[in-house]
Amino acid sequence: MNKFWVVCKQVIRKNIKSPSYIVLLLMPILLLGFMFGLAAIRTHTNETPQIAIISNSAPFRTALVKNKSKDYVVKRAVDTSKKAEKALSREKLDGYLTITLTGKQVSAVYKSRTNGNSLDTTSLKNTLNSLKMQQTAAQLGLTSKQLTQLFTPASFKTQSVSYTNGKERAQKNNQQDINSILAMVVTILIYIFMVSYASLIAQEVATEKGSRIMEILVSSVAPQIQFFAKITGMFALILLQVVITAICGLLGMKYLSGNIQFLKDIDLSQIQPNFVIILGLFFILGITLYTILAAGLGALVSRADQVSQAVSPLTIIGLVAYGASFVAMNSNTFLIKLGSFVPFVSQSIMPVRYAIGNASTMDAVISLVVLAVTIVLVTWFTTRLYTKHVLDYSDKKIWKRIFKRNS
Amino acid sequence: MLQVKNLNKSFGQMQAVSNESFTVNDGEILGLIGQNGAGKTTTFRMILGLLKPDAGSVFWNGHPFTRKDQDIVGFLPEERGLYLKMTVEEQVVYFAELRGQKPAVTKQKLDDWMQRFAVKGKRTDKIKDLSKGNQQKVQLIATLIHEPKLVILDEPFSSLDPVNASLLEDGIERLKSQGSAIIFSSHDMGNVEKISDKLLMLRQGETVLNGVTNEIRESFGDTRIFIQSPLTAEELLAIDGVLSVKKYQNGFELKLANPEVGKAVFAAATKDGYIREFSQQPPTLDEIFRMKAGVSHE
Repeated sequence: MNKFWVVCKQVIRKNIKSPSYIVLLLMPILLLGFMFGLAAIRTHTNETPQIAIISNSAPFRTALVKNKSKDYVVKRAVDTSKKAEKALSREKLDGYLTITLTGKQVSAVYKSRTNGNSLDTTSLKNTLNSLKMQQTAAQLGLTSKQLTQLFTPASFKTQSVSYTNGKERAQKNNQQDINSILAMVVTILIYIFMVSYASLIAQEVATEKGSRIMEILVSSVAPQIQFFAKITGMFALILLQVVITAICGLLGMKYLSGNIQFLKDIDLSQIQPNFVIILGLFFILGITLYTILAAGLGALVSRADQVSQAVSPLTIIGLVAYGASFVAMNSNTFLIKLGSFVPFVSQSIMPVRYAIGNASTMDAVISLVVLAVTIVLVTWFTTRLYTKHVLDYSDKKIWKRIFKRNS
Repeated sequence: MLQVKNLNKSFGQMQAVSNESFTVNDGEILGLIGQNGAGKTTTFRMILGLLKPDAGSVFWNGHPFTRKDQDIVGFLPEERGLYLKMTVEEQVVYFAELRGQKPAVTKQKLDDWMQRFAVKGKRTDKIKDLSKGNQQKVQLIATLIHEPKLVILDEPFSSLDPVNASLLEDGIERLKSQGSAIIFSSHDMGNVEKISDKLLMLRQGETVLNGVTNEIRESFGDTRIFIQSPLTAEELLAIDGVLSVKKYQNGFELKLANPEVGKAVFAAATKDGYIREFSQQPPTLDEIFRMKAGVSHE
């Protein structure tokens, strides 16, 4: 047990100092910084546009100018098209709106500089419409109450449901959105973590084998102990990464939610704990499965430069699963259903199916159990593989070695 | 005390080691000799438990040697390997810790060991910045610093210059005087003859020689003579029982049919009195090695 920790500590110590791990660790921070920068650039470059309003109807213009909006600033001094053209050409204005009243018709033209700050015309349109309505209503002699009645829209709500064993299961639309966003985020994270750590541990094992340090290690510590110690060390590194990623993620949500629309829609209080637990379990078990198998594959190669070749089948499967998670977003075919229970791909597909309500909690739990059982079997198999091949430097093909009976 | 009893190991069709037995007592050095592929590394791996023998067993102080005994082992593999990015200290501390020696103890001993092996470099230097020879020494220190009771060195002298080879010989002798049982393999008979008490020679997995070094030589009889005398090669060859005459430094090396011939050679050479050299010996290990390596065991 003592040596278990010696090896485990060594794995952690060595990797924490290695540039490749530090880059991996800093990735979320860099990403966050990048998003901050992007947001900063956006707010900086798109200032509130300065516009002018010109109209042949003075009351109409006054009413519009008085109406304050956060989408634009009106320059009151500019009140003729001549002045407006001049201001526009000197880049004093970003654009101007010309409103023409002909009888009962109101027409408006917004002319803007292509290199100016862009205007979201929605609120301007709305103001214009309501002004026109008020004017028409006044002309028709309608009271404001009548006007309100006239324009109250029919009530329209969306409700989405899913069926579990024939029973209807209501789900708030917003809830489902959050779940799918969470599922997508977790799927991406699973993929990134899987690929990064699978190659990291395979590299670790293969380097020791290739540099012949393995002989000393194996003669000092039983290969099984060494194997589990390495994996434990790797998990400690993953945990550190998860913590850092989570901190970055939460900080990012806090500071960026004002700037990024998609984050604004997420209401953290809407997240259901049991959903998070299931996502978390898929995350942990999915990465565990890949990491363990990758360690075994690393032990099969003779030199460190063969690692990517050995690990590639694993990363390809991971990529396919990741791709399938996008398909699962919109379809629920037999293949997707099946995939959500098959280990090696289920960790990416099931969270998505579960999030959008295509799979029940029971389905998710069954898939998790299958995954857990697979991990136990793979661990047993891989430990044997590791013990047997860690000192085997023959040039036999990797796949032949896996199925070699005895050595 | 290490006892190896009737070890057998085959890989597929190839018998790597067959029926191998030997004993190394505490404070004794066993030289394991043989050509490439003779089964030396396989023997070491079976002792260390890295390979499971098909038959036979390994005992340490009377009980079967198991993983529990691994802390008393110092093992230098034939193919050297160190973590290139680690410092000398980190490297030695880690390997010693794997053998159960606390980091503090290793750190305390390290300077002394680096001095003894004349390592050029500081303990804070990265391994990759050291010369090949110095890396080799660090590897040796990492193998021996926990003062193992059983030392297994696979080709420790290969690629060492004579100065460093003698530093290593000193190191091995020191462990011997502390009571360690030591096995080392080599294909350089010079080292083997100089420091080993016992000798085991393998040829394609078969044990062809096994015993105390001097006794092995003696068993071939004193059939070699190194001589510097007025006699010419033709005159020497003419003596009955002299099989061959070969030029050797300022004199000749003779092969005799049997040790008794020596007397006739001595009488002939000294008939006019003083001669500079007359030395009757058994064949050298080197000669025995080449003799045995060439001849089939059957």
